Amino acid sequence: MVFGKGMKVVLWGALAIMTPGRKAFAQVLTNTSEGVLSANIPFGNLTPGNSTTPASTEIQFNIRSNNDNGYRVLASAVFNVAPTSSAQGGTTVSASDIGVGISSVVNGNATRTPRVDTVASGFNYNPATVAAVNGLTPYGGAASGRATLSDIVANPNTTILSGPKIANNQGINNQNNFLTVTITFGLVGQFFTPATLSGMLTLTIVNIP
Amino acid sequence: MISFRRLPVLLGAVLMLASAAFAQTGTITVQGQNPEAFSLTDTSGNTLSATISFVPVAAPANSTTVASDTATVRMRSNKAYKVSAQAGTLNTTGLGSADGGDTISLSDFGFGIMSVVNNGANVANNPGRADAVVSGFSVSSWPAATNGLTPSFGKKLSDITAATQVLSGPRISTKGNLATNNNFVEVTFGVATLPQYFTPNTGFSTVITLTMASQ
Repeated sequence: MVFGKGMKVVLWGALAIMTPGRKAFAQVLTNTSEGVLSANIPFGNLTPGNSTTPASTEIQFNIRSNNDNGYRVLASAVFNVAPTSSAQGGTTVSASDIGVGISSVVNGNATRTPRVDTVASGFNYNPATVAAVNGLTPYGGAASGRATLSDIVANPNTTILSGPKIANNQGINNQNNFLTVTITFGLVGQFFTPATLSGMLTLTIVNIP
Repeated sequence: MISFRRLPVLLGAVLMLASAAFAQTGTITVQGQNPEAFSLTDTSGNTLSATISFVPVAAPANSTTVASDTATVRMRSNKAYKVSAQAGTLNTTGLGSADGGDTISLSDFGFGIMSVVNNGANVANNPGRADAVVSGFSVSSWPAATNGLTPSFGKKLSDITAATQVLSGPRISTKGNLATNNNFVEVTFGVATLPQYFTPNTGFSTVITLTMASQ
């Protein structure tokens, strides 16, 4: 039995990818139960209140990487709003009204230290703790230090987090070899045009070559 | 017998299955709703509970000037609105004997809208808003009494014993919430009466309920 040259390449490539610990699978992004991250953030009914505290919610996920050069977490997003009434001279909620920030990164016990994981400029804040001055959206965008979903919509595959090799292996059965990342979303309920809103944030972890 | 012609296809399938087992991508879905919102509050953005007081009621005098008081409310909405008003029964305490005379009633009170201020930076359709006070409810000044009797008010509390529309307009707020200081229309409601030799009482009261809703 003789394999052609091209066949050998395909075969070794497949074996490399299937073998745990090889660099082809050097990074993994999961939910905190080690499953596929597919989370919902229901802001629910955003009835305007007499408060300067945004409505907020957060999602946690785990990242693993044993790539020697480290990892990056990329974010892309889409946002849709469906008005149920005409704007009548008012403002309709948009992606720029939703604050997005990485509010914490917690190291597992078996992660490599010392660590310098870097949250991208503008994403290093907690939208839940930003006061809505005068009851208006307090997030000015990444350039102002308070990123919004709009920053991600406008810039697909935005790097929001990066860092060095996380652990020597990336097996998801190991409960100490990952970073737990918390992303927090904030939105101030206002007298926006009646509408339903939805958005999807896609996170991808990639090796740094 | 395995056909090696199909081996690349087989390996490709294995590759896909292997990739699926090690997620590198995740998704977060954001959902919410901006409901229709209408708000009628006091000037601090809190629940409206204002008192229009005639205490102490002046004794009948040799005057044609009515006693009056006002209550100012802030209205916000993300849609065209209408406001209705309804007066409850006039309750009295310590009521003496009528002894053939008249007792004060809802028809002795004028009721109206003294002003509508709508110039905030986050007020929609501004300038050029068309907030419309229903005919008869607009009061620039109270009428003077003639012969010391209840004057001819444009509208009286007795005209709103059932929910009655008094004001309407287009969407008010462009955005912001109840803490926002420039996204509302401020409306001042007034009530007036002329002190007269009505049957003695130690107090009277009625509740005027304002309701804001979608047009």
